[in-house]
Amino acid sequence: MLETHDLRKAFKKKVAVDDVNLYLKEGESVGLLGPNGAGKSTLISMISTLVKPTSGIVTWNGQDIIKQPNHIRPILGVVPQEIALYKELSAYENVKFFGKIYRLRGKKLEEKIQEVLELVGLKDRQKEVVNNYSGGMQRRINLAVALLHEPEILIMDEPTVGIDPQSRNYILEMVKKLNEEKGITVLYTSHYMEEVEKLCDRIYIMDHGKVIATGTKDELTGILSSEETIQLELDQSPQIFKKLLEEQENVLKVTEWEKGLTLIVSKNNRKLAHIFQLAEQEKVSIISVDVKVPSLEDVFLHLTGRRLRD
Amino acid sequence: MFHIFTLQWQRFRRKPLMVLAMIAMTIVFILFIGGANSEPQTMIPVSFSDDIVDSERSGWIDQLNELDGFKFADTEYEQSKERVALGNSSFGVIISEQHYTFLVGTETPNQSIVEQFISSLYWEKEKIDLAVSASGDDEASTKIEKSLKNPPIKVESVIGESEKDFFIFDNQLQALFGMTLFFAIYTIVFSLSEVAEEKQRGSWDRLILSPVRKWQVYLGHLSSAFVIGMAQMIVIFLMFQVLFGFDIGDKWLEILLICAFYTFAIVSLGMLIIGLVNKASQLSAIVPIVAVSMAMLGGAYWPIEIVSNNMVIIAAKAVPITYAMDALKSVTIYGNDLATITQPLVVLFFMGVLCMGIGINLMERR
Repeated sequence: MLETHDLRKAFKKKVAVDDVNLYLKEGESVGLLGPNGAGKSTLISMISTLVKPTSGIVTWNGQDIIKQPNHIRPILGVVPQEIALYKELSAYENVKFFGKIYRLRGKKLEEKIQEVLELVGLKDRQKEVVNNYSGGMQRRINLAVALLHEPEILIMDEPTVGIDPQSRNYILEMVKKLNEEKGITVLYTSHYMEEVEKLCDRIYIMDHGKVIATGTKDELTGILSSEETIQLELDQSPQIFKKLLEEQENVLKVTEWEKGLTLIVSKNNRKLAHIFQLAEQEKVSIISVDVKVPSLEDVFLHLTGRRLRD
Repeated sequence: MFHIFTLQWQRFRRKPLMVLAMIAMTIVFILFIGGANSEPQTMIPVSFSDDIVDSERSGWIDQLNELDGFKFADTEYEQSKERVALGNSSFGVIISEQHYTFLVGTETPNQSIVEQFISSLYWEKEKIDLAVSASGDDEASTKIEKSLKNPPIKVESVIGESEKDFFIFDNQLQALFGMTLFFAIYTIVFSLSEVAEEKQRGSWDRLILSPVRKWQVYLGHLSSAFVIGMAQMIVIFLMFQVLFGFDIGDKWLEILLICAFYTFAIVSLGMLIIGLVNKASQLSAIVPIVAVSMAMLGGAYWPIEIVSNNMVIIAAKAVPITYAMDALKSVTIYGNDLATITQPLVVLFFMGVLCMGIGINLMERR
């Protein structure tokens, strides 16, 4: 089991990761969800033994891997947020180079290269220079390189940033398959809640360097079991209407979105009619009303008062 | 380490433009400054005014050609003017009975050397004329000339024993060494910028997590930049000796050693610069400033020997180019051996060790 104990990283006065405790069981798929700047990348850099923590420890099967990183490095596959490839070389040359670095040689190397290229669906285009690939294809090669040495733990830092939905889906399916069929333990960071929802057994929600909630998707959304979300689409700037809603007893939180307002209200005290009445009183036209089952996005909103992509 | 080294070469083969551009720039600048002709000496056209009779001209030319390192040629005034105007000679001389005149296209250190020499010839001539007129003997002039050829006492004067005591200026080698060392800075530091780029894009982390040791990762990059820098310098030296007839001499072992120590110092300096900048893109702004300043201080553009400002001379001591230029000129112009250049090589080595230590430390702290 991989564990962190009171893990902390401070850069001068700024605390990037603040006493984080988490664990990953073998074969588990765990998500780290949080907005940009939440401290996810710093946290996984420490778990990957690339950055030394200011305090706290990381253990793998009870052994301190901060002091002895070589206990975990051979079984670790890291997919960085950047395209960590040599773009002037072909996909084949890139994969081959990293294979050699991992001391794969001869026939075994050639077999592994073809295996991972097949897995990411780029076997047919392996001779092309990476620079000519689309963003999605580059991300797939980025992942292929991390799989070459058959890692037991795969740490992925926002591996789908800036790519088309089709490639994103391909990567998600592939990671799911690796986790389910090959039993690879996955630590997946993202600020796309739908990715984490789809892939992960357990989720850690981070904000401002701290873990603010943890559990399975159901456990997290259960935080909002007594509440529900109402999304109002309005025809005008909702400032006065928003203030008015905030003053209502049954309305727990009001946030703006580009077309209107999102309300978190007590489930047993919905009073939709009252909201319509207020809108009419303020001469605000409600174009549509959407009463939703709570999502992770709503949980994050509830916990922090902000949206994940704010 | 070997795989990282070969990877850099693989990448270099795909993107050789930067190194080729630096080689081309070096060649153009050497040809422009040092001249492409195979004539080892600087040709200076000499014209004579009407008060010098034709029979005296050859005597003047012979006397002028006693000055080492220059070739004086009897040239018609119009041709001299044209030659200087077109830049084929940086200056020319017009000899008259009582005075001399310089035709100057560009001012060079050579001009003052030639002027001193011509001035001494006029003083000598003046002294003989005075002696002749004082003696009242019509044949005194012939007798003095005869005596000068067979003097009762021969005084052999030695100007100095090393290049520190006298200075020989060779424009071709000055340009060749100066420009080669100068442009090599760009090639080496920009090749090293791969380290900073790898750190930015995350491939460095992949290498660190792999079974390869960190020192091997550094060594792979450093040795690749070293080989590229060395190769560029050697190619240029060979090219100018073989194709353009520059007289570098035959002390290739010493030249290779100087290049190796200089490249090591610049690779280390490159690591220090990369350690100081935050982004690889900042290098393109900083490297020209560093390279040009070092070339100016270290005598790559003009000989350090003509610099009289003490501040500049002291500042030059902190610049690797100074020591490399000194060692190269010592070996090629003055014909010194390995023992003589030990000191500049040791200084280059220690400069390299110091910069490398600080540079890697800065990079690791980030």
